[in-house]
Order: sequence, then C-alpha cells, then structure tokens
Amino acid sequence: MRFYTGDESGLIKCIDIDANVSLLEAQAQAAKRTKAAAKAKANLKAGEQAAAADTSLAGVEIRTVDGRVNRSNGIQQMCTTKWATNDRAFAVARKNGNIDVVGFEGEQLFTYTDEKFAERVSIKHNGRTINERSYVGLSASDSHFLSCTNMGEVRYQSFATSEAKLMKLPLDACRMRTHNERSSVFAVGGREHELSVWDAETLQESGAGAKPTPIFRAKNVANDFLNLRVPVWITDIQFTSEDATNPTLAVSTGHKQIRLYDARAQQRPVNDWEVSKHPIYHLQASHVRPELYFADNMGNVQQMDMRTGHVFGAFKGIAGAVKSISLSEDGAKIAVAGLDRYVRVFETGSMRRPLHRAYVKQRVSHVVWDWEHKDFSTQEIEEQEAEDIWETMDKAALKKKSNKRKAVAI
Amino acid sequence: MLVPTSEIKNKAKRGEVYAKQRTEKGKAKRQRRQEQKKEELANPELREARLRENVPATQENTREFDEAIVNETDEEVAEDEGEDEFAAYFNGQTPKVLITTTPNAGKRTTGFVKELVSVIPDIEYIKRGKKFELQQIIQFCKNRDYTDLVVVTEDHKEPTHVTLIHLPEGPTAHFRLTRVKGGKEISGHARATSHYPELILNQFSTRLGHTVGRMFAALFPQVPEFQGRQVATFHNQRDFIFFRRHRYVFKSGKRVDLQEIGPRFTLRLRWLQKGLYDPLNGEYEWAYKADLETSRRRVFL
Repeated sequence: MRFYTGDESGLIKCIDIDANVSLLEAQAQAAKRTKAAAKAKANLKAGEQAAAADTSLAGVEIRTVDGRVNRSNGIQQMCTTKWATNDRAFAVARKNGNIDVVGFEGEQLFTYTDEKFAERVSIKHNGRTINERSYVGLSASDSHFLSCTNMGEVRYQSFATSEAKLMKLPLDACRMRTHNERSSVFAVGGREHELSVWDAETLQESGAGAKPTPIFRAKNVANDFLNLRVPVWITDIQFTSEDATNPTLAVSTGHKQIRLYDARAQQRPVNDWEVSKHPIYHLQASHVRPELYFADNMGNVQQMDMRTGHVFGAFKGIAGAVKSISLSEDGAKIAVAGLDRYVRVFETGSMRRPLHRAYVKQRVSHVVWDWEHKDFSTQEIEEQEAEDIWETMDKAALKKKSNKRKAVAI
Repeated sequence: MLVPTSEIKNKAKRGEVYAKQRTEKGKAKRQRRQEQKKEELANPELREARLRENVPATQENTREFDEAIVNETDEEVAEDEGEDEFAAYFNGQTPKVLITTTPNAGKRTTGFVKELVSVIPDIEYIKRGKKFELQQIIQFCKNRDYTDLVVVTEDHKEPTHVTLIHLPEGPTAHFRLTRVKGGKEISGHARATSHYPELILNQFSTRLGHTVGRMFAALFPQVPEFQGRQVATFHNQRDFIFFRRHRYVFKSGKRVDLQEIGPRFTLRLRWLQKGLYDPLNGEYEWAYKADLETSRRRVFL
C-alpha cells in the first residue's frame, strides 16, 4: 500500500506499507527487539553508550518526497493531478499562500504566489474574529487549478497562461470540494455560509459584468421546535453522484449533523441526521458503497449508511483529531491521518479492524492513497519472476514429428 | 518425582502429597542456591554470566514498542521542535504566567495555588470572578502579552485538575491533579526562596511527551539562579508526572543531600488540544480514551 501525506511542516512524504506484514507480526518483532535492547542496556560496560533504538515497524518505509521543515510552508490542501504528459504530480496549497505543483519525485513544476496572504487580517464576523487567511479547497486538472480561501476568494487559473477567473463568495467558507468527474464544478460552505454549487467555467474574467449563477443553492432547514433559526456551519462536503448538473451532496456540520442534498428534489436537505456527539469536521464518501465516513474533533472516525442514516460503528484506536480520510481503490480499506502523527489503515468491513499504522512524525493535514501502486502478493511475484526467466531463454528449435511410418526392417 | 496432585481424588491424601512435595521443592531450591553461591564465590565470572542472562522483566523495560519515541539524532523532529509553538520561549522570550482558579475556589485550592506561585518565578495570581468566561480571559491575557495561563479546577472543595494554556496560539494541556501535599505537610521540609529554580524533566520520551515537557519548561525562566540551590523536578513514569521541589547541598564533593521544599503533586495528562482552550469545538492532538489502553505495557508520554 502506498500513501502520500502532506503535513503542517510543508513536507510531502511517501509511505510504503507492506500489506503482507500484519500489524501484529510487526509489533511482535518490535517487542523482541525491545527485549534484546533492554538486555543489552542492562549489560552495558561502564561508559558505553546504548545503541540508538530502532524506531520503525517492520513493513513500513517512509521517505520525504519534497520539502524541508518550515511551518510557513505548511500544506493546507493537497490533491493529485496530471502534469504535462501523463506525469503525476501533487498540487499543494500552502499556509503562506503559495500554490505549488510538485512532481512525484519532488520536482518543482509550478508556483503561484498570492500576495493577499501576506496582509494582516482581523475581521469580526458573526461573533468571531477571523485572524488569518487559509485555503479551504484546492483541485487541479491538466490545465487549470481551482482554489478557495476562507475569505471566499475563488480562483480558477490556468497553469499555462496566468489568466484567472475570480469570484468573491461570502466570508467564512470552511470547505470547498470539487466534483469527481468534472473538476470545474465545485461546492462551497462554511459558518453561516450556506451550501452552494458553482461551475468555474461560467465565471467571468475578473472585472467583467454579469454575476454568475450557481448550479445549486441550498436552503437552511426549517426552524426547530422552538421556532428558532437553526445555525449553519458546514465543515465538509462530498459529491455523491456522477451527475454534475443536478448534483447530490453529503454535508457534515459542526453541529454534529450529516445532511444529504439532492438538486433535483429540493433546496432543503433531503435528509438531516444528528449522528455525532462532537462537531464533525471531515467527511468522506465511499465510491463503491453508499457509505459515509466522518471524523470529529476528538479522533472518532465513524462509518454510516447513507441511505438510512444508521451509524455502523467507529474505527477504534485513534488518539487525535483526524484531518484526512482516504479509501483504497476497491473501497475495502480506509486510511486515516491527523494530529496524532500517524497514518492508520483499517478495513471497511463490519469488523473495522486495524490493519496497519505508520508514524509520520508530523501532524498530517492530508493523506492520499496511491491507487496506481500495485501490491503484489508473494505468489504473483514468483509468477512474474518465472515469466521473466522463460522470456530470457532461447526458443528451442521445434522438431517436426514425421508422419510417415518408418519402414519396418524385415 | 513430582506427582501431579490433580489426579488424586481423595482430598486428604491429595493435601498430604501436596504438602510433602512443597517442602521437597523448597529443600531442593535452597540446596541449589547454596551450591550456586559456593560456585560463584569461587568463580565470580559465573555470577556475571548469570546476571547477564537473567535480566528481569520490569514494566519499564517491557514497554510496548512505540515508534513515536524520539531518537536524539532525529533531525526532522529537531527542526520541527525548533519551529513549534514554544520556539519563542526557547529563543529567549521571558515567560509571563498568570494563574487562576475556577470560580468560588476554596481554601485548599487557593492554598495549592499559592504554593504554585512560590514554585514558578514571576507568576501572577488573580482571583477568579464570575463575570468573564475562560475564553474571554484568554483573550485578555493575550492582549496583555502573557505567555501562559494556568487554571486550577476545584471540585468538592479540593483542586482536581490543572489546565495549562500556552499563549498566543499554543497548545492547551489538561491534567488530572492528585496526591497534592503542601510544603507544610511534609515533615522536615525546607523553606523556599525566590531564586529561579533549576528544572529537571525526566523521561518525556515520545513526541507527545516532548510537547508536554516543553510546556512545563516554558513556565520557568531559561537561566536558573544556581545560588539558590533549588531544583524543581517533573518526573514522568508510565504517564504519571510527579512534581517535586528540593533544596540540594553538596557535601564535601562526595554526595548530595536533598531536602524537600514541596509542594508535591502528581499530574496525569487527560488531553492535549492544538490551539487555545475550546473543549467543545477545538481539535485534539491527543485525548485519553479507554480504547487506547490496549495493554498494560503501553504508555503515551
């Protein structure tokens, strides 16, 4: 299994976990090592230093693809994209306002600097003070990138030319996500910032006339049983269908709710469930099953059915808030990473068993599962090696078997 | 020949056989140990070999493997710590600490707070009123350039928790406070002076432990006054942080005598939050949950 993480210190790391080494095995090996180290330490001659402890689990390899530790370069948003001719690359949005495209081997391919991030910001809004600008969403296609800041500044810019389409949305956006198929269709939501879905292609050039119209604009739920307005706090959005013109979305709120919207049905949510005990900050929809995975601020990641609102259960063992969830290609495994500095892999079946973990040393802000990295089981590796050996051998000349009966010597 | 007593059905007979076997076992063990002692007296190398092989398993040396234990030579972690929320302190900023309690604190809590005031130099105690919420107080402290805020929680007329909030945007740590003993309750205690104490932070081994250790370090001035011969110790062992304060004196170059000044208390980390105090909506870097306790040999600090 291969993952790429972006973290607060601006590093992009590649994590390779050998799926054949189970977590229990790796821990047993590590326990043996600890025992041996304890024995060695107890038997040190005076003045000798203890050998440096080997702090890695078997089957886990981590290397830094790009970056040096630097908080101002901290990665806030990350996505994968194709650069030029089929080269895969990462587009990252950094704390200092830069949007960089970095190749999978660490080559710097593109940088965009936003001068607005250098300004000091202190805006009182809805009883809170917004003290800094940050990126709440980033997506990149072959030709353009689309970014959104928490101030509602949306930028749809092409890599080649620097022509940019800008749009100003209301303040306090918490998340911007794009549609899986059409990367110019995006949804934005935030605190007192109701959900809206737009198409970046329809945005006018900066300074032009007509105001763009959204594809879908959501409406707040009805007043509660005391006839009070229900506050709006959208924390994460997921597109749940392939249709980009009439999208269906799943939205998580900071008020512990999960809501489903259907543009064809109505503006109000089609479903509104209170599923959590804590504010939900991250949401991930499964691409193979009608399931949602949501994470709150305390390290509880839960699995729920999107059709009924029933919560199956939680992935146990996570100590800190999860900032990012990623699924494997077959949807059978899930990787979560966050402030506890680990990438943990679980199975998404009914047991939700922990499969493996990798210690990343930094607080992770984004994890991506590399779907194009194939794990070969040992059988497949042997078959491949056998194939290679047969290929290298010369073809023996075929002896033609004579059909004529040999004359029998009398 | 040891007969398995579980196969004897008669209780009286079983008891007899067991008692006999027990005394025989004891005799054999004593004899073996006597012979071993004689052999090792003659040949001390045998003893050394035996000790080398039989290292006893303790809770400390069978600690569950943790990749988060920081290697001293790790550059990345060193760089990360160089840029973390405490970088300002470790680059020379003087700490300015404010301590307060939850509203209506009683005698025991204010007594504990006054002891903490004597431990941490240049600290200010302000009595908590009922007008402002803690989040507002944090804002006031930030406006007045405080670097740390300590809140002692009282429950059932005694101090139960300590919340340590590093300002301006630093982490918030919440500890359970137990076994509080004031200086006066320690027999033969020494008297504190106002000298800056030396600081000892023991066994904070993982990355989380480093963060907590640095939080404690950031409360004290960087340069101690050695003339005061005072030392404050935060000793972490299996996630319990023991605080002690001693006065030391070197006796003729051969040994050190310690006299405890007090207070004496134990802390246990309950949660560490990234950012300022916001227990409902803030993001937690580490929060104690029962399902983290997978084995007795697992510790996090």
